[in-house]
Amino acid sequence: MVQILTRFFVSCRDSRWLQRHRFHRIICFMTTVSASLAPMSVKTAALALVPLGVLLNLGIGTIVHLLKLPLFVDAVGTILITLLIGWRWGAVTGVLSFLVGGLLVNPVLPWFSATQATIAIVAGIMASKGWFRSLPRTIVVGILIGICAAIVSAPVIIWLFGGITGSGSGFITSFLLASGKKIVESVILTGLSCEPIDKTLQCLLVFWLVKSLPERFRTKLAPLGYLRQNTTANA
Amino acid sequence: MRNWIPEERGRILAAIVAAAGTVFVRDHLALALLWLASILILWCQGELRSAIHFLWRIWLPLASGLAIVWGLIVRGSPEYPDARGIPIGLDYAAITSLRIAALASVFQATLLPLRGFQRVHFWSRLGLPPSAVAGIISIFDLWPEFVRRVDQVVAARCARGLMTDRRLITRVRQIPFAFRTLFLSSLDSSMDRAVRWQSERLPERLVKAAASRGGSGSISGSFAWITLAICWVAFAFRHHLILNP
Amino acid sequence: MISMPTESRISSLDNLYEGRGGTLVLLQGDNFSGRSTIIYLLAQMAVDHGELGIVIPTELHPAFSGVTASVADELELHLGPRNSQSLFWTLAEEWGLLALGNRQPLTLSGGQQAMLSILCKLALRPRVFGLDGALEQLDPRNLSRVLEALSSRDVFSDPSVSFISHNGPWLEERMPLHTIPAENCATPCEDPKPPGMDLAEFAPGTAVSSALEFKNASFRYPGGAPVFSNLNLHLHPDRIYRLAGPNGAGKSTFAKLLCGILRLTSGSLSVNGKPFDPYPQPGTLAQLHFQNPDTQLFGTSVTGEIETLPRERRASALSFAGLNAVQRRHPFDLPFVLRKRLALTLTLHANAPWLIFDEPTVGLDQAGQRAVCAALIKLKQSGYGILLISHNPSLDDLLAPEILEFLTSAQP
Repeated sequence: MVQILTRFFVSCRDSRWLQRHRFHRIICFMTTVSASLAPMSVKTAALALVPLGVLLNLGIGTIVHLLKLPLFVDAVGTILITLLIGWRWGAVTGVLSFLVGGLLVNPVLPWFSATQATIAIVAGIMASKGWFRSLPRTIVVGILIGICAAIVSAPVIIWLFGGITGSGSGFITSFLLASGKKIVESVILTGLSCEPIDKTLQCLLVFWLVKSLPERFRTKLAPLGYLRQNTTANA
Repeated sequence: MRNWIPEERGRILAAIVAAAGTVFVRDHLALALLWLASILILWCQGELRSAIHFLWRIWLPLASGLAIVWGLIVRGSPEYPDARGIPIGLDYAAITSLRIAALASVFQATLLPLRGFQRVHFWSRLGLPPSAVAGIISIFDLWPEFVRRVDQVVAARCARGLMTDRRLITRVRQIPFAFRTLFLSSLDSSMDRAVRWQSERLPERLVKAAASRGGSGSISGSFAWITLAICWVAFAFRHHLILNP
Repeated sequence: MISMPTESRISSLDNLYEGRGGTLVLLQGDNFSGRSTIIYLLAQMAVDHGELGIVIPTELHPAFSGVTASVADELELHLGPRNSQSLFWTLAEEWGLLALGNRQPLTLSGGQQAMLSILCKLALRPRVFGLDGALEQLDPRNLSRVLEALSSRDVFSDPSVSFISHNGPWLEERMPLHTIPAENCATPCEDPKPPGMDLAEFAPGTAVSSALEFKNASFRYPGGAPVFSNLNLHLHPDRIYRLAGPNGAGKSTFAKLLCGILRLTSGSLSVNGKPFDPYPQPGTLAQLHFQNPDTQLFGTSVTGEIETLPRERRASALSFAGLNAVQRRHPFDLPFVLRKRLALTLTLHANAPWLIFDEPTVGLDQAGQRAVCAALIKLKQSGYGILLISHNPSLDDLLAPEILEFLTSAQP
């Protein structure tokens, strides 16, 4: 609505007939006012949100570390930015997280960039159909993202890491290998048992966060991503 | 010293050649050489601490885990499913560990030594638009501030008496609230910053300032790095080259 | 809500916009008089005309570029190459910014951040330059320097105007300023101030008086130098203490130790003669109000935040803060001043015998500052112990605190 008003005021302001009219000053003024209230363009929002999403992906690990918890969550920013401004920017956020994370945190992270992009794509497809609207649906999305992430990560874990990534899931892989299973089977089974839980927790965190977004951010961002499809009337 | 530092494209090309070779090579000596060479580069450019941090905190536990799993538990290698024995397992663990170390140190050697306007120059010379360059650079420069903000948010949970004790379940319960506040408190300043960047044309200004400083590398440095990378690949695949010239 | 302004109110804004270069305009008014709205509207008018309009807010850090890791790079980004010998590089030297060369901008003190952001944005030669509370953290000497630069025709080309919104007491005496009451200008986007929005009279709770004693207490961060060593200190309830000292001297660390965020490395803390360790149960001995309210609000409504207080303190807290009209709103939907008030209120009504406040008056107008000081005095009289960290000199006049001086060698 504000964008329509702004365009209206701008065209009035630039109208030669109105420039001679005594209401012109008021029109100029209202143009300024409505321009300052207009929602953000997606480019400006991406400039603001992509770096923030990257910092969240890396930073939540810092929260977990400060609280001394045995968890690892690394895609909350990716899923959140996907919901707010679309899957393309979510994928950029995810890939950048792991490239920058490679320099700031762990230099093997960049090899999992494809996983982050996959998370953004799947989250974007599901969000566009309103699958983040309710708690049960969000759980389903989390499980689906987990399955896709496990499948996409598997080649990297098998080939580069020999099945053992140094996280807690390595114990499960070791157990399966020791029981005689092949490496491919072991890694995929480990991934399918751990990733859906991890990604579901992250999706639930994003769901909860989006529900508690303040009104002024919601208004600015609603036209840009999938917020409209995923918020109920009461949210 | 400057003559040995490559330009941006030379740096990336040398890294790609080395990484591509690492992906396929199966030679302990070659991988160890590449690893050592990368550490030497990091040392010369003052980034040895990051390399040691990776080795101690990440690589060592990983390598130990691989040795235990493949050498002692499985006693075999996925590359030779029918063969069994501790040496076979340890050999596989060693190759995998060396490959991880080599790839990680190549990545670090390529990008870690870049600082300040050098970093800006690097990304802009790769063809990224100014706003993308500004976005990427801001992640590095806002990271310390972000970590401080995380610390403040967690401290505030304690300081307001909202984390009543230090049990595991109480600490887990802090995550959603801390995360939400972290996000919302950062969102406002991020949006403000993005609007300012556009009105003050900061990305263009940034790229121009970096360009006026010039890059730190030279063509001779690029040539040297690429040549070294190709020589290493040739060395790494020497057995194949000798057997199949 | 947008309302149509009158012709005379638009004229007043036009007149402000068309001022001569080097004009300084002080917008007078309390919180919610529309000063910020006016400043941002004027900046937007500059943008509409294809020129540059810059506003530096109270929080300062959004004004930094976020793409430089040092003060030197931040200066070079805005001022151009160092060898250009421009006036702004001369100002950078005079203002002591060159000496901060390798420091990260966000690690500077409030005053240093203000000087750096003001100089950098001035160098962009804006048509409209707004300082929305950005001068509050400057000491008198630096304030004079900034005002002199703002009113210089060499710094500002014609036409360019600076608009200042300021809650400190000493601005009018510094320079001849054009002062305009904010209510004379158009404020079409501001809801009229709802009734009951002022800070009400404070009703303190009852504290269990807790005298603190540090014996040979030491603290160092893991891998760092000692922050303080062998500290022996008595702190009595019923008193207000102000922690003074330069940045990095250990004031915030001391506050965090009392709150149980950090733990003493060695030595002991006693409460009323009995050994006590706040670390296992943070927030029971002391609670802390941080300078930035945004990092300490965790709810989705004002009511939700108030409900974290003890039941008997909730009604009093809501009425003191003057937030009855907005109690259902999300805290991050409120303007900065109301978020600051909310965060302050939560600590003022907390259930802990010691209360610590880090810069409690930033962003508050004179009436708000007096109300907060009156509340602190009532808390003291009710048996609470108060620790203050502040650079606002008027608090010393209003509260007469005992000064605990923190030195850089870390022994108060």
